[in-house]
Amino acid sequence: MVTYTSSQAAEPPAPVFSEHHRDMAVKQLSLSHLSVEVGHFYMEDLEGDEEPILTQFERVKPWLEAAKASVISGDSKPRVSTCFLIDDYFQSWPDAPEIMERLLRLSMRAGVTIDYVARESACARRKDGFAVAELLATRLLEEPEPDHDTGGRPPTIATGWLSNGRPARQATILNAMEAHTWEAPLEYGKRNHSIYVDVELWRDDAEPGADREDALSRRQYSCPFLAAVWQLVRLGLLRKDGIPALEVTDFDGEWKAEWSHFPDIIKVNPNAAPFYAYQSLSIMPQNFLPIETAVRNIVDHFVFERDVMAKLDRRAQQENVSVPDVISQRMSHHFLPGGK
Amino acid sequence: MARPVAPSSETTSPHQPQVVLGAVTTGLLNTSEPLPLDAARQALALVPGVEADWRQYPVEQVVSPDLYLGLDCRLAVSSGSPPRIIGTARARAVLTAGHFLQGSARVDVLLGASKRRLPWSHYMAHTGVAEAINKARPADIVTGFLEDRPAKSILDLGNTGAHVMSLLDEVPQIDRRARLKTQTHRLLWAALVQEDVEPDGHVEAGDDGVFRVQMSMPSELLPDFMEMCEILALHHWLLAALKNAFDRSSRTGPSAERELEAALSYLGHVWNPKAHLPHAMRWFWDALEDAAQLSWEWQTTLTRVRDKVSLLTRKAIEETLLREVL
Repeated sequence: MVTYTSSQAAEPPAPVFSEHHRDMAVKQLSLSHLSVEVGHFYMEDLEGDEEPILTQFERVKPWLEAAKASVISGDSKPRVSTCFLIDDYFQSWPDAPEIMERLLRLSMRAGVTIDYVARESACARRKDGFAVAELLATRLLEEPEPDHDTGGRPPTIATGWLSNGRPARQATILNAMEAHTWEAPLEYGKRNHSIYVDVELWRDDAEPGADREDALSRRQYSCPFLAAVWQLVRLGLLRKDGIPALEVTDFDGEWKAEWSHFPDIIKVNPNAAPFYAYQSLSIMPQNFLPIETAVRNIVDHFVFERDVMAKLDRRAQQENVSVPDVISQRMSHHFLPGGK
Repeated sequence: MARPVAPSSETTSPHQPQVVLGAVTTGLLNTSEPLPLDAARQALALVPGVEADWRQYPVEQVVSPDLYLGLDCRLAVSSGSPPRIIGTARARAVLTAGHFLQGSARVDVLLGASKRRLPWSHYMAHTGVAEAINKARPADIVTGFLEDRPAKSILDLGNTGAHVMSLLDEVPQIDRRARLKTQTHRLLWAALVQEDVEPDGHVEAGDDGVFRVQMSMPSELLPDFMEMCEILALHHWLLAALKNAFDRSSRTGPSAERELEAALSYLGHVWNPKAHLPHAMRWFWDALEDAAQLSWEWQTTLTRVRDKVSLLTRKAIEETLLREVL
């Protein structure tokens, strides 16, 4: 055994030669203090009667005002932007311009200004074809099993399901006296009692053995999964090569006939505060509560990029804004009473 | 009215780990020729949307982005009951000279933060950190980890590194036809984090062939220390691989030449421990060289290999000439 102690003499001289290629430069974003999602509709609701659409925006209005009033903005003037996610992933008909016109008109009439419009399909795959959802899919980390995971288990989610614990187990035993045994489910991070959640992230339709690109093009993501992408995009945390996975395009004055021709995120209000924000709030009817529970479960398993997080944190510190460490604590919800 | 400050947020625990544990697994990338830099950069971009870091001078090296693995297991300790830790380990792949692959894993151990397992989101907010929920002394954790007695539900960072290395098995440019027989090696390291100390450490070569490195240091030196451990692991492995090839060549008779030729072409040119050695670790490396003389041993072994190749070649020429004369 050899022991040495540092005899640190003088400061080392500046290096004569240095080389280190880090291609990822994290983009500094303009950030709002709060991003508010002002309501949500299924596509069939947007295509139905105008009355329920107007009613939902009218119910959103006072809560949007409350949100603006409660923003934590540190040393600066509060910056709040609003956004709306179009549900075009599971069904979309070519009547996009009418729907957009109706959506913006009714929200305006209710006194709710929509600053940005995004498409749910873009959360799966961008207009340029890049598979955005896979940025999240490859950054999910399953919870380790108590007293079991020593570091050797591969960290991939292969099944398309993500849980917060261990499912109930049921086994039929070939014994007449004891026909069934049952073991309760377990939430790993429980406090006294468990709330076990298991979320379907996607369904693969491709034949087994299909190549990856083919498999991905046929993968159908679940609504909570795409909503989790949406939340992380709004918080500026989902990036490709340091650049936000979905970027904002100014509205060019004309709505394309097909949803798939829309930019990923469109800035419809030229005077809007920045799209990305330190914190997010989603105001929506209460029937979306289970979906948002699933969204939080997914976000709770997201591995953030250290450099991205550090840059956001530094920015928040400079502005004297306090942002929670836990990502899902940056997200809040208000669920409107009644039906849709 | 907007409020300037947040309502008092929940109590934040200090997130300064007292102990950092690591393991570096080193082996030969199973391919006949070194991976070109471009292919290596693609292969080591293990996280979509993040590029691998790379350097070209004086030796090509590509480092993957960090991967994380969930942990809920026990830490071996030299005395007392093994504390349970929960959190994540981080691991990266390092490819040097297109041919030498390392899986380097590390976990920062935070003592006394909580007494029970918390919701997973808590650990995901501090990736790379595992929190111990029972009491333990940092020094006991270091000793217990370095003893490396495998047991059920004990932290196994060596396997984490091996797992990261296995992620490169699927890379299309890898032909699985390496001509040199080598074994995978493991190096274990442990750091006691103390902010106001002069760094102080030692290396112990165990009779199991594993190098164990331990150091007390301020936290800012951790990345440099980890990099030095990777460099030491690589060079220890290179030395062992060359010595093994030489030893095998004396046993295998006719195939001796092939063994030595593969060893020379794969390993002969790559010894350069100071190539990427962080400045802050030079004092340690110099002291280590002084005592263990790894570079001297490398030169000697390499000379013996070359001498043997010359002798074998001369013998082969003589035999051919002799046959022609007869």
